[in-house]
Amino acid sequence: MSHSSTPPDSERNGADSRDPALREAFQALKAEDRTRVPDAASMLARARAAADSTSSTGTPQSPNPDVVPLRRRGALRWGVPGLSVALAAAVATVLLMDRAATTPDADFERVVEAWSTTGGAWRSPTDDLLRPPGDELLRTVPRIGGGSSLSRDPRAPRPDGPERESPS
Amino acid sequence: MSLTDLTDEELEARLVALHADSFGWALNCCGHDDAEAEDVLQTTYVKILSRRATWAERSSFRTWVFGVIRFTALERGRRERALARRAERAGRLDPDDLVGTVPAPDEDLDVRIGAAANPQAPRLREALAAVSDRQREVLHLVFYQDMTVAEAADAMGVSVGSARTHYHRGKERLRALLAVEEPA
Repeated sequence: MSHSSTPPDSERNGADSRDPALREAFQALKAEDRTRVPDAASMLARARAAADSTSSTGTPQSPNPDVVPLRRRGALRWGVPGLSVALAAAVATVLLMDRAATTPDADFERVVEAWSTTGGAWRSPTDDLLRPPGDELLRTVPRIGGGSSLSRDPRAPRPDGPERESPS
Repeated sequence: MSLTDLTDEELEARLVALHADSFGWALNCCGHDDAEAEDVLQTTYVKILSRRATWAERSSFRTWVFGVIRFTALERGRRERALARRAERAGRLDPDDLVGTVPAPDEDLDVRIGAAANPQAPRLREALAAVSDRQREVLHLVFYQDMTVAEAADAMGVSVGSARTHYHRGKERLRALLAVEEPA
């Protein structure tokens, strides 16, 4: 790995050659700090126990059980009212839909809809008047090369059909 | 080798080998407050051992651990500031009672360590409290931890150019502070 190689002296800032006073002061501070280093074994043992409890519960445990983490407190603050509102809305929707489905109007509409598809349903005798001549041109797509049935000469033989004999 | 390749025992062995240096860095990140530094280091170990912090092998193991320590200290500082603001809103406490930008150097420390302590250490600690956070970080990593500026930049999460600027400015400022405090 490149980062494990020793960098050149110039990259080492020249701290040894140009800043002996600062270096000496920092080394004095370091020696003093070394006298206060807490025990590594006990810290790692505590960390291992906390890490194990974290992995078993899925959430990091606070060192102080009385202290709820900030993120969890935020979730509690907004999560509980939000959940209540969502639940109330769901219940209201279900109740309204159920009520609408069982009203007399809804029953009557279902009966009418079923009856209108039967043969006995009333049909207006003037419905055909609403269909203008050539109405099929607006509702169908003409075939290429076939021509329109309206523009074709009725006396000409049909291109794709059998020859019709004249009745006379 | 990545974090997933290491067994728990190997990981702990690496952390033990780094422990003293890690504590020194945690002290620097926590304004030389022993209790704060120990808490930050403990949280860092939990993050690493539970594999919540992931080592992407872009840097050395030591640089990565230092980055996690620094982030944990910053996170803790942010949380404390948020708590202080909340307490201020509640009118219970003055935020200045809870949080300072840099904790004051421990005055009792020299007494606890004894007369044999090097007099340079407390002077340097006081001078370091007067430079900016970035300058203090890069100077610590270079002079205390013997890192290169590039490695320091990696641990600090800044560009090498930025770290170099902080390094030079911090060095000049520290020299000036130590010269002023030098007894006549």
